[in-house]
Amino acid sequence: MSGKKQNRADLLFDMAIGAGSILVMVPLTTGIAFHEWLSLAFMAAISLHSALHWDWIHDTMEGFLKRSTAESRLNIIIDSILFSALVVSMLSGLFISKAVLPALGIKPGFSLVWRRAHAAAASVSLAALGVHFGMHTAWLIDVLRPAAMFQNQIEGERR
Amino acid sequence: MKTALRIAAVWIIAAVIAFAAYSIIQPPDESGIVQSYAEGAGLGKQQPPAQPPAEGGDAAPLYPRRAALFSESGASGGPADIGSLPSGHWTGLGLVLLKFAAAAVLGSLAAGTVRKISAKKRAAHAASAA
Repeated sequence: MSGKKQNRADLLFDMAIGAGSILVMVPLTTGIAFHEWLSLAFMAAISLHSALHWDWIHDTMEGFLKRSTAESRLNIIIDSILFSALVVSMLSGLFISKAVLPALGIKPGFSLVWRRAHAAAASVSLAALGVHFGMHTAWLIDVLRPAAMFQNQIEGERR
Repeated sequence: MKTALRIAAVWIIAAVIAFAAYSIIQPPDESGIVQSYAEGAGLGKQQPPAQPPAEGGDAAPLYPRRAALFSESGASGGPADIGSLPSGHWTGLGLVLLKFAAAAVLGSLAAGTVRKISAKKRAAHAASAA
């Protein structure tokens, strides 16, 4: 796959993850069952997203103090916070699960501590996700720009 | 194969973080608190009820949103299902989008600032080298 095509595929996948993340954050709107099953799918998508950017993660971590740029360092810090918050959200969500675990025949108890941990981790996740998105707007504009130019070219040829 | 291995590595890292979080958060015995919280949410016995129930109806829960979240039917298509909720629940989506947008603006500004500082440093370095 060429660089541009790869970028567009990445963009589509990332947009799907972004939309999913927003839907995951509103259990009162979507319903608990949908929230829980979508969260599982979201975690799987996040692991794929991380695996696809493994080289960047590895390089930035390795050269954190010397080689990496300030922007990369800030990015990796935000991403680490985001990933940790998502994992805590997932873990605490399992402890207060109303749909996924009962569907597997496990009846979890009700825990205030895990509920509060879930709410706190979700808030941190939302903030970190927004910052993560914001930090990649330059890349987003770069990817969208050639697509727009390509579209204009096609329309010009049709005329 | 490479991607599969990387995904496995991501899950291993997640498991380590989850284990650490579990060790830190592990809750104490809170059965008493849970009972009173559930009653407050309108799930358990209500003695005395917050409001006298209407004739033939149940007592109104103190926290209807929480009651909808924790009710048994919420797990398998009940009051918490999409479409059956009052329109007020859509404000939650608006709030989440607003918070996300605010954080995105903050992230964009942070990235821009960091980039500018780096460019200035590079320019200063180049000038001193010349």
